Amino acid sequence: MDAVLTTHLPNEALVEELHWLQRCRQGDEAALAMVIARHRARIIRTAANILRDRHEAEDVAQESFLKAFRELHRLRDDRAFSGYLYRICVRLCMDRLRSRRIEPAEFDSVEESQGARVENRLVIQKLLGQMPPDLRATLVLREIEQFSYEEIAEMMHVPLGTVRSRLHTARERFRKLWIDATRETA
Amino acid sequence: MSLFGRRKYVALLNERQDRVLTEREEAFLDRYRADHPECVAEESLHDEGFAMLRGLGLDEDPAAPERFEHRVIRRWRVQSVKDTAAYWSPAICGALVAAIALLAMFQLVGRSSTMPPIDVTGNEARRLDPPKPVFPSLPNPGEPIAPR
Repeated sequence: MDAVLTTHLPNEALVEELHWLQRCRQGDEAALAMVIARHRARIIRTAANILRDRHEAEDVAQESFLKAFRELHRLRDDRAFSGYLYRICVRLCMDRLRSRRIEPAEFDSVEESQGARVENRLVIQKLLGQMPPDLRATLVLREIEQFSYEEIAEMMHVPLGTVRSRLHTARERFRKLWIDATRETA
Repeated sequence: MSLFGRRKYVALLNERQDRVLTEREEAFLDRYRADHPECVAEESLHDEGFAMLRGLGLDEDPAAPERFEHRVIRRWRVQSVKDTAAYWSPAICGALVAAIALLAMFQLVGRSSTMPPIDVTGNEARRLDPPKPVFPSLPNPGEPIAPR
């Protein structure tokens, strides 16, 4: 298993995490809590950005930690833990997105009093809701979460070329949807 | 040519978000913008849309982080108990007993249906010898009566 996503951890933190993971394997709950505390915020944020739902994101984050801990024995290299955790999280998010219906676009439902900024945020959320799960997740991971192509490929378990082509398609689709929505609301 | 130029223009707009374009590519964009002034407005919309998208990031942290950790650990405890044989042994024993009882029931039902039928040959309808006449047949007139 690759260790691409561990690069954001400094060396000392990585050593610390390796030690915690050893303790997690022995069922040490304090070590579990430390691992959760380290990755919690980023995992929830990633899930929230993909799903656009805070409660669902917390639920997915919990499931991701549980699954990662349950399958910790399968992990050959503990340095790849964070990549493994993000991969689980993204997959769970994709499963949830696939089980949702594509939301119809209704741009006239926004109240004028909410202001243009809020209105635009809502429009963008709706546009994301109209995109297929694969494209949406790729776009969010790159544009909002600022992950590299390699990290996205690892998380989504697809080749680098697929990430490039998905991102290109996603950007194209988003651009068209955004321009159409802007013309519609104008 | 125009379609090709349009495609290249859009592709470069996308790539501009990931890397610095070369001078040649920038020159192409400038030329395209000069030839197609309507694209300039579209480009500013494009930039605005992507800026909005990037600014859409939710900085979510659970309302109570300790509660989040507590929930995960509690679920993990339940899960680890469920993974042990001790948790499932009563269910397995119950299932075994039920399976044995079912098997025994099926055996009983099967046996009753294959039991040999009760011997009722005595009650069967069968062809009997013709009954003997109560009275012996009378001889024809003129025939001598046979001695007994």
